[in-house]
Amino acid sequence: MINKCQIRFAREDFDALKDHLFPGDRDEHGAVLLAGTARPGGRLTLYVREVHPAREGLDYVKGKIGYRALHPTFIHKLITRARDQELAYLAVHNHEADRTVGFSQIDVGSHERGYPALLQIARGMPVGAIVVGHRSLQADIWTGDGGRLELDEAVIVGNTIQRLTPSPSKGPPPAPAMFDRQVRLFGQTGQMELARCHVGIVGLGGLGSLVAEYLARLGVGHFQLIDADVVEESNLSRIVGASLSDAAKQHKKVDVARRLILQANPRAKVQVIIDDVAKDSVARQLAINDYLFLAADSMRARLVFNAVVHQYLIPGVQMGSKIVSDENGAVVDVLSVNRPVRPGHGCLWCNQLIDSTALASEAKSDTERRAQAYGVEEPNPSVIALNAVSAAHGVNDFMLDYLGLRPEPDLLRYEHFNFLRRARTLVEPRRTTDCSECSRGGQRYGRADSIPLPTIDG
Amino acid sequence: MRVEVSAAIDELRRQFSGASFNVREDGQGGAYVVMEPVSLGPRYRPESTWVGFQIPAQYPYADIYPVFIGAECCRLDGVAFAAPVTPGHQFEGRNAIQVSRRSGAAQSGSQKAAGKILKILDFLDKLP
Repeated sequence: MINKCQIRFAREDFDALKDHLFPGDRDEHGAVLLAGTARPGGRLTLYVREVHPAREGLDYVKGKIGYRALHPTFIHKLITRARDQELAYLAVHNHEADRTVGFSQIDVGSHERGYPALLQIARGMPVGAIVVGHRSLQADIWTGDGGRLELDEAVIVGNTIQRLTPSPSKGPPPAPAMFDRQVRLFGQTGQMELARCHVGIVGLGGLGSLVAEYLARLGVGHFQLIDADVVEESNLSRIVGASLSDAAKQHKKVDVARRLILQANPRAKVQVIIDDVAKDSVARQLAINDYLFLAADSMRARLVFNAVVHQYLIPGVQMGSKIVSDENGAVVDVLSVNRPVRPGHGCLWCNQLIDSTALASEAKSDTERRAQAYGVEEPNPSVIALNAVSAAHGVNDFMLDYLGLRPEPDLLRYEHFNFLRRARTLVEPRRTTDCSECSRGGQRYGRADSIPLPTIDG
Repeated sequence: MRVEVSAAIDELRRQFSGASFNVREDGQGGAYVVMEPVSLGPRYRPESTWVGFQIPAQYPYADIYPVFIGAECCRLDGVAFAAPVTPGHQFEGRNAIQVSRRSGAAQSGSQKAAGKILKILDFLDKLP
C-alpha cells in the first residue's frame, strides 16, 4: 500500500504562498489551498488550483491550544467550496525551518481533533495540512477511505522544475559508469532524478524517435511511448533505429523506439501504447508522467496534450519542424519549433495553435474527407536534421530545467528556428486571462480527475 | 456520446423546435445530425429543406464543418451556387449541397452549435 502522496504546484502559486508565509518577520502565517486530485500509478497526487492566504488577525488568529489557528469562518467558507468544486482542502502554515520540516505534536493533535469532521463536510474529498519550511515541505493528508498519507515530494512547475521533500534524501547510489561524463554536470543526485523520472513521448516518428534516444542516453528511467503507426519505408530517412526489416514487417514505431531505448539504457522501464492519444483511455495515462514531449503533428494530439499540462500541472513541450512551399513549389520557409507549455503561462489553445477546422477534419474518415473535398493531404516534406534541432533543444531544455541547472527565467518563450533566414526567434506566448484551458479561473486548471479531458471515446 | 455533444443537440432541438431530428453516433463520441424541415427563406426553392452536419467528439473545440443542405435547393434568381457552396456531395446517404464556412468563434471558446447553424442560414440568406 502506498502511504505517501505528491503535491504539485505551478511556480506562481507556490511563490505567492511562500511570499505570504515568509514575509520576513520570522512569525507563523497560514493559508488554505484547494487542489484537484488523481491517483496516477496508485499514488494520491494533489494539484493546487487555488491559494487562499489567511489574513492576519481575521482569518489566522490566536489559537485556543496552539500558537495560532485558522478562524472557523474561514475554514467553513473554504471547506464547503472544496466540497462543491470537488477539490481537496489543505490548511497550510509555516515553520521557521530550512531543509527539514515536520508537524509539532500540537499540530498533529489539532488534525486529529478537527479532520474527522472536515472529512464529513468534504464528502469524500481529501482534507489535510501542509507545513512549509524554507526549503522543505511536509503534509498530513486524510482521505475519505480512512487513509492518512504523508508527503513523498512536492513538485513546483515553472519553466524550471523544483522538488521539495520533508527532509533531505539520503545520498544517491553511484551512477553507472556509462553516465560518468554527464554526472560531472548533473551530479549523482541529478543522475538519480533522471533515473526516477517518468517521461511521456507522444509520437515516435522522426522527431519522437530522436527524443527517445537522447533521453535514454541521458539515463531517464521511465518511458511512456504513444503512437499507433507502423514503420513505413518512407520513414527510414528519419526514424532513428528503424531498418528496412522493420518496414517490411510493419513493426510499430513504439516497438522500434523501445528497442532503441533499451539498447541505450538497459535499465529503463518502457511502457508502449499502440493507440491514439486522443482516446480517453490513452490520454488519462499521461498523468503519470513528470514531463511530456509532444512530437505528433495532429491537432487532436495538441488539444489533449495542452489539456493534460494544465489539468495535471505537468510541464511539457510541443515540438516540430516544417517546410513551407508556395503555390509554385518554391520553398519559402524551413522551420523548427519548440513551444514549452507550462501551467498558467498561456497555452496552445489561446495562442491559436490548435485549429478548430482541422480538429473537425481529423474527426472524419479519409473517405469522408475525400468526399467532402477537403482532400486527403499529401505528406509534408520532412528531414532528419530539422527534427534533430527541435529534439536537441527540447531535450536540452528538459535536462537543464528538470534538474534545476539554470535559474528560473522571467518569461516563458517559444523558440523558432528559421533556417532560410538563419534566424532564431524567441516568441513570448499570449496569456489570455479568461482562457478556458490555461487560466486559473478557467474550467481546467489543476482540476485533475474531477473533469473530463477533451478526448474522443475509446 | 460526449456530454458536450449531447448538450449541443439539446440546444439545437430548442432552437429549431419545429424540426425533427435524426441523430446517429459517430463512434468517437460525436454525432451525425440531420434536422428537417429548416427554412432557407424566400430566396430559395424549395423554401425549406434538411440541414445536416457532424458534431465532432471534441466539440466545442472542434468546429462544426462543413454543413450540408438538401441537393434539391436552388436560388430563385437562377444564380448557380459557387464555392464555398458546392453541389454534388452526399451526407448520411442523402444528395447534398455542401456549405463550407469556418467558425471563428470556436477559438475564442464561444462557439455554440445552434449559433453556428444560424450563421450558416444567415450566410445563405445574404449570398450575393
